[in-house]
Amino acid sequence: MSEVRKIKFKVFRFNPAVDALPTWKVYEVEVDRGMTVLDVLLKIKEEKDPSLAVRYSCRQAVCGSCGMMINGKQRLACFTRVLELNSKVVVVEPLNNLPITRDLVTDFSDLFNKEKMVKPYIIRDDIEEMKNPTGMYLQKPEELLEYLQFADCIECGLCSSACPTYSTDHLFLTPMILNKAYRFSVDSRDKGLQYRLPIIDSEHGCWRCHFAAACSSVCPKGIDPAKSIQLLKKIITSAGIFKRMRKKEVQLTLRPHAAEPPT
Amino acid sequence: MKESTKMLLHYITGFLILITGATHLIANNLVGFNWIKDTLWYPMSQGVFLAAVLYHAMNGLRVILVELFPGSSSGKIISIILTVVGIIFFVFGLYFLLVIFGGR
Repeated sequence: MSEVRKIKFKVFRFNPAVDALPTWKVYEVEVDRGMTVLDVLLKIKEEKDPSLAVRYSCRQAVCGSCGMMINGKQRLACFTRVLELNSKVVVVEPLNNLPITRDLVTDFSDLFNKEKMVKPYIIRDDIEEMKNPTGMYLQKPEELLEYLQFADCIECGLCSSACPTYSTDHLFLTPMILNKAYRFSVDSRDKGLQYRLPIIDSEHGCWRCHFAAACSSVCPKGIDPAKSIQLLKKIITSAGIFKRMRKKEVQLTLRPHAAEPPT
Repeated sequence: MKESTKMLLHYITGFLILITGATHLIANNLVGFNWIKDTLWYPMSQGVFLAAVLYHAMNGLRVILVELFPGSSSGKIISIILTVVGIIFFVFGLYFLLVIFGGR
C-alpha cells in the first residue's frame, strides 16, 4: 500500500568559496514508503535544485560516503528511511567536527591522515617473509573473533563526528582511527603494536577518550568503538607493565619514537 | 613520561586518595578509632594523601587544558606550569604536615 506524505526538508547550504555565512533552504518533497534521505536529496537535486552538493556512492551502507546530520543525529543518508524518522520536518546538515567542503559534503583529510599514522595494516616481524611471502598468514577462528566486530568499520566518520573530545581537541585521534589501531593490534598475525604505540599512546591518543560512548551509539554497523578504545588502553597498560602483549609474547621496545616498520 | 604511565599513576593516586581519605575520615569521625591518630601510619597516610591529591588534581587539570588548547608545544608548556604549581603546593603542604605532626 502506498503511503505518500509531504515532508519538509530543511537543508544546510554553504559554499565556503562564495558564501560568507551558511543558509538554510526548505524543500517540500513527496516521500513514499521506503524512500531514504539520500533518495530525497537526489530527488531535490534532480527536480528542484541541481546546485545541492551531496556525496554518495554505494547507496547500501557499505561505502560510508553519505554520512550527515539528520534531525541532529549522525546517520548514513542511504540507511535512514524518511518515514521512520516520524517527523514532519527533516533537518539535514553536514557532519559535526569536520570542515565543510560544500553543503552536505565534509572534508575527511584529517581523519585519513591520522589513519595513515597508526599504520592500519598487518605488520610482521619477519621482514624477509613480508617482502617475499612463502604462504598465507594462518589464523584460528577464535583468533579471528578477537577483532571481528571491530573489522566491520566502513570509515563513514559518524563516530568521529559524534565524539565530544574531537569537537574541542582537533589533534585527538578519534574513535574511527583508534578502533582501526585496536583491530590490527589484536590481530594474531600482526606484530606492529610497537610501531603504533608512539602515536596511540601520545598526548592526543587513546587516553583522551573519556568514554562518553557517543561513537558507539551512532555507528551504523553496530561496532562499539568506545569498547575498542578501552581495550586499547588495557593492552597498552599491560604492554607497559609486563613488557609483553597478552598471549602473543611480543617483547616491546617502548621507546618514544620506534623505528619505522619493515616495508 | 609516556601518556600511559601518567594515566596509570592518575588511577593509582585516585585509589590512594580513597584509602588515605577514608583513614582520615575514620580516625577523626568514628568513635573508637581515635587510636589511629596515635600511630605512625596516620601522618604518613596524610603525606601520601597530599601527594596523591596534588598529582591527581594537576594531571586532571592537564588533561582538560590539553584538550582545550591542543597544539604541539602547548602540551609541554601546560605540563611544566602544572608541575611547578604542584611542587610548590606540595612543599607548602609538607611544611604544614611537619608543623602539625612534627612535635610527636
